[in-house]
Amino acid sequence: MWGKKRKITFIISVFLILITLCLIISENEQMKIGLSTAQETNSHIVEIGDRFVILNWTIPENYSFSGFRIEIYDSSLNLSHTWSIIQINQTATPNYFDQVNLVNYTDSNGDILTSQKEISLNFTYFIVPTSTNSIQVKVNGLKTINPYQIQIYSTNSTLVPNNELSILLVEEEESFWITEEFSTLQSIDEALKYSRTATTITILAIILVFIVIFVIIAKIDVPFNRVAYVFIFPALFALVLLEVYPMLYGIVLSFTSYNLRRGEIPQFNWLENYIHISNNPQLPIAFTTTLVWSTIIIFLKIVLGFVLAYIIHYKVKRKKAWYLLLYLPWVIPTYIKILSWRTFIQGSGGESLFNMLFGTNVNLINQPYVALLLACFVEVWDSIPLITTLFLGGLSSIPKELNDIAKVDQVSERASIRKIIIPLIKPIILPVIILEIIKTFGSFNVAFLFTSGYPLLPYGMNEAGIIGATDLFSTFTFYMFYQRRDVGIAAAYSTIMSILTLFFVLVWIKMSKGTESSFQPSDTKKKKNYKVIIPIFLVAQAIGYIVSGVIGFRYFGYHWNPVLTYVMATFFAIAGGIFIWKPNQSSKGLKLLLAMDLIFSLTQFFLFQMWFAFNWNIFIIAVEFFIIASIPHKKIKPHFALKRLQQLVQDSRKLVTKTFQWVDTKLTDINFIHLILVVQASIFLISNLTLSSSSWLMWSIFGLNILIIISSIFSQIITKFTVLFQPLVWIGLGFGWGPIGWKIIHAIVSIVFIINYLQKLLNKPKKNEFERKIYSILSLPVNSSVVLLSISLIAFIPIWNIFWIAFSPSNTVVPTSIFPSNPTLNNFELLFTQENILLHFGNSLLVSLGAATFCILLTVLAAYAFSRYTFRVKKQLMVGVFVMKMFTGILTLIPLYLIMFNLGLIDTYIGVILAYSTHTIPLGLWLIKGYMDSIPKELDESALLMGNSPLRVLRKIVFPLAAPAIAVAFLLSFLTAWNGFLLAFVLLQSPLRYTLPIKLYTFLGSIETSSPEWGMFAAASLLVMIPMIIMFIFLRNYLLKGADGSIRGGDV
Amino acid sequence: MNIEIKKLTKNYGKKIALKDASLVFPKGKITIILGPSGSGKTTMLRLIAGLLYPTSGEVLFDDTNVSNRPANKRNVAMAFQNYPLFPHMTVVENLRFPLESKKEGKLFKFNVYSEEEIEKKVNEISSLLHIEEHKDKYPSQLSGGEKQRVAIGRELIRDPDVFLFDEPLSNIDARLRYEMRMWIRKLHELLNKTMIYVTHDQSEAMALGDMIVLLDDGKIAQVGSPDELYYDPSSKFVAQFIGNYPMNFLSFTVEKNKCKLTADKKNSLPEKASKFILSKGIKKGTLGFRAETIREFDHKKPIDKDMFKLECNVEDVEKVLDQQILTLNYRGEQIFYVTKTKKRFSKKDSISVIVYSDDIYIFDEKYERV
Repeated sequence: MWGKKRKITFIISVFLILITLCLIISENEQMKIGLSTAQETNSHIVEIGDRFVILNWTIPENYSFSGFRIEIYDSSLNLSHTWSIIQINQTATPNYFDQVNLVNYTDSNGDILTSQKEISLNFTYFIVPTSTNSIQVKVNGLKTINPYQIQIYSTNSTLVPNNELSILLVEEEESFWITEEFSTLQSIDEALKYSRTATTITILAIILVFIVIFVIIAKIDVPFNRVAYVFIFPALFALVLLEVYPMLYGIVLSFTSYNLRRGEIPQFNWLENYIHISNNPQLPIAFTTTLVWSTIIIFLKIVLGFVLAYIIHYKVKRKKAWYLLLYLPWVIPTYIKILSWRTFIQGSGGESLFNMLFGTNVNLINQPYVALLLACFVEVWDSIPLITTLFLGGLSSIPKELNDIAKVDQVSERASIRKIIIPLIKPIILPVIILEIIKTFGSFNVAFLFTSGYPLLPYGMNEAGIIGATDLFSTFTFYMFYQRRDVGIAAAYSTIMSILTLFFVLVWIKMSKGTESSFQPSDTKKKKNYKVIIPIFLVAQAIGYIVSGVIGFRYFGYHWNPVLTYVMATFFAIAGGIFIWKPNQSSKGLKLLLAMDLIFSLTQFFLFQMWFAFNWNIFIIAVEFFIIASIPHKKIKPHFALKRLQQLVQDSRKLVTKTFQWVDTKLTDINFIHLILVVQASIFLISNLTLSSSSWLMWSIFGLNILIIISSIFSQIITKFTVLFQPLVWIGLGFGWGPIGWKIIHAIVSIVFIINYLQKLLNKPKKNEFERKIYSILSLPVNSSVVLLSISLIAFIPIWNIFWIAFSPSNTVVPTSIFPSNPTLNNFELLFTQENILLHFGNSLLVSLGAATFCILLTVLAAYAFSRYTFRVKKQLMVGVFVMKMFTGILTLIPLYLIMFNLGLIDTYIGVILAYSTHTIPLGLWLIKGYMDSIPKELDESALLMGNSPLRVLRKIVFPLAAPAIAVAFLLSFLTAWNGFLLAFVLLQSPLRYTLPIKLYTFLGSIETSSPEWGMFAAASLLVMIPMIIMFIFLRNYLLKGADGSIRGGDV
Repeated sequence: MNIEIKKLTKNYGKKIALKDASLVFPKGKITIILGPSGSGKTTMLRLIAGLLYPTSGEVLFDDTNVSNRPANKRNVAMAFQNYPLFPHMTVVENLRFPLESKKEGKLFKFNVYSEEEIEKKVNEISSLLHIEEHKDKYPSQLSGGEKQRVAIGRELIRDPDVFLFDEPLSNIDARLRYEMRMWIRKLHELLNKTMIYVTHDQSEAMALGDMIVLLDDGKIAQVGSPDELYYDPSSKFVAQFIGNYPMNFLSFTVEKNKCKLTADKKNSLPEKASKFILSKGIKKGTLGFRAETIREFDHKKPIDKDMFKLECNVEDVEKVLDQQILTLNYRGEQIFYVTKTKKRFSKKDSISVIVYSDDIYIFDEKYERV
């Protein structure tokens, strides 16, 4: 275990050093606060196209000529010709009809108007009125990819009549403006043609190489296994084409200037994109958000998951019912859950049920910290069923006897959790947790659907746009790609993200190697060479501080005090020296130094807005602590003076312990009731604070509560009388009239208290039947049930909100009663008549069924080969397939989009089906393979001996027998596509092809939308949800088995 | 069909399951592959069936090399340990399946058997094996014996060239086992096909086999008839493995042209054995004798040249019906002694036993029979 840990720390440290170095090397500027306004020039080139150029110039105020002549100079041919002449004329009338005109002008009001087009014998010329301020000309008829220069002359020209048409004669001219030389772009058609051929050729090449490699490996292997290669071929091929190729393509793209807006040939610009990124102040902001986000979520997930799993596994009866309650939210599609949370918390512009319930003033648009925390909360709540399942899997792998032994040996619950349960589930849970970290790190849905990146941060602005407090790396990349169409830069962002993910993946591979269903210690402890790493770290940090002081790169130092930065640099340099000299003795001092640094860093992290005051040191220090913790530290023999001091410290310590011991003798038995009282008191405090209550009643109840807690730990009698305090609470609630949410919470805690108290009171020898009955009711595991119930019910509050909105006649968000006062089916009617929701159901069904069928076909074949044959590189392939799973989503989105685009699969069902089909291959493969492993091998061997081909054996014997697992995998695959948002959102463009998630999203739009269609959204959500809930209730045993199976094993 | 294996080797990673095994399985005979668990017998069988691919070596069916031919093209039948019936098919479907599986054609495959033929064969087989009334049941509704009969019927119906059995009787109770042995013998008489039978149970091997192949740790220890293996073991391993009770072994050394037991230097071997050892020129070795061949020393009969006496203590007594199995302690060495006497022994009794020189097997230092 330890050896692994050290290796991981080493990887982390190398990784951090690399990042650090990258950031040092790239030139840095202080964050620009404010926008640099575009410089106003009198004449400039507005846009360069493939066959045109748009020019804009202002007419000087005292302009004495009658017009302009525009001359095109073709640099490649060395030829120039007049394109057209613009005449300024009193009589010109604006042309309102011809929309496609080449010459526009702005009049004195600033309106853009179209010029009058006239034809003479030698030129087509344009007439603008004298009141014109500026003129915009679209010079067309140019050749693609050709250098040009345009010269504009001020002219005096006259029309010489000649029969019907007149001739325009230029009499006098003067050079007005000569543009710089520019080159027209490649036409979009050509660019597309180019990239289409490129994609096609690449895909063909990949197919060829892949087949060749496959054939070679198959040839090397023994003849019996060759058929296995045929079986795994389709699945692997799909993965390579739809996962590996996009990933590599993404890396290539990140080195090019690919931009979907400009129709130019993408060129390799090597590290330009990365340099651009490193200069962008938004990167550290997105990075901070992502890290804080991941840390909070992972922490909460682990704690909540463990607590829930522990309660379900050990505490409550009727486990199945609890499972059902806990899993029910799981079937509701994620996007509906997230959007319903948004409805509940944000509503329309802060007018929401949440604010009504708790009297708060939450608004996700302008409260950065609140928005981030609430987004974390939503993400955690969304994944509770999954993470609980994972922990339950771990817990159920602990032999029951161990717990019985612990009980018999009178090990306390806390000790048994700490010493038995956690060490035993750790090796099983750890790889899964890392998977969760990877998932959280790349999570997109909550940040996109819940807050859309809002609230915006003023210092997160650059010329590309503005970044928000909930903009994660993934959403940030997505905006780069989706709104700015800057493929090269977006690809560079996702490449950086992939590298970070890769780091976690490596850790995962290392960890899951030893994963088995039971605890097995690996090799004995290994010594790690910390003596080299720590000094390197310390020196690196010292250098970092100095650099930050000198060039003002604030991510390494303290933003708020440059002097402190230098002081710390000196400290670190000295510490590095001491450590090299005396490593074992100096570890304590080093810890102190690091703690100091950490405090300074965190102070600025929290005192200033964290996104702005972000500091790398926090992470480096964490790593250093981690390494130092494993150093065996030796005591230094103290000098005489120090000896006295030490003695003094020891004496005072003894005194403190003695005092505590004395206090302890005076205390009563501290038990659960006190804890509930404390919870009650803190809820009072929180509610009073959030409401900024000035009611003397509420505050005095809080004071009384505190008083009771303090006195009840000294006296049994007070504890007895605390129950009388509860009616007081109720009275206070009645008069205080706080918002209803707080009342409910108070009531729940109060009831829990009373039940607990009664339970304690009745926990004596029973006298009669009545008391026994009451006791049997009360002795149910109340507290555990309350915890479970409240956690699972919280998930249903937004659902109820949705339900209410769906049936309410008006387009409001905040329920005014438990049921809508005059319910209508109006919203549903509109959905079917106006919005054609059936079409979108059909779309979703088509895409999901297609993806699931395709996926299962490939997966079953591959699973059979993986289960029954021992071919070469089997294990590596299995791991590879799983690693692929971690690089999906936003990481491969951009290249996948481009590939689909080039193959003409954008806005087609086939494209979406293909994109979603590979998503469930790893999970499905693993599920089906596991199930096939449990089918006796003799069955298909005997079928084989009867002369059947392996395919027929699979079809006739294995497929029917593995049907349950295949069904579960099919369902999971179906759900992935059915609930999938991101890929469908990007790949489908015409509204008629929208799948349900996108259709539902269009009802609400992103958070800043002014007029969301609440009613329609709610009604549609119910339509989507209800069939799934019904299906879940019918298939629950099946599904839970499938979900359960996905935890165990782990031996990939 | 005549089956031959040539220098067959199979490695699982570093572990060698079978090493350089060369053997001919005679046509139309039952050959038993016997050996302790992990000795490579199932590996050998699976190599012959084509379910495993050899690391090196060849498998020949009637002099044609079939090493590269996968299992589904070898036309062999194999009965597995647990008689795997397809659980999702009824008895009739299980019986029909092998016939439906037989196909002919290069690109377009056609069934070999027509519907009527299949019907007829299924009826024949089910009446032969007395499973007519279970035709439409699923395997899970059958009893153990019925399942096995269906499984055998399923192999019978397809008329394979070779029958392979992989410990078919190891999972069933004793009564049923005798019945099934009878079935297998009957089957052999009926079909007269080459059969290879893998077992770790020597009584089964003795009861069924014309020829026994004894495997030890991936190598062939001895090939021969049951009697040859029992009376003429080629090595200590064979001597130890074959027989109801483990053979007794005592080590001896040759000093000054006299063969003496290592445990007791005063006790020299009988003359006949001594002469034999000296003629072979062995310095050290082991002598073995079976527990069934030992006699208790009778004071009325003196010891002659052809026997020698061992004075032992009784360490443990086990009474199995009419037999008594005694564990004796001869100067720290364990000796098993099986007797049918009515006399009762108890622990710590001292007892003298005699061993006849004709019953002694002599092994050299490498545990090879001399």
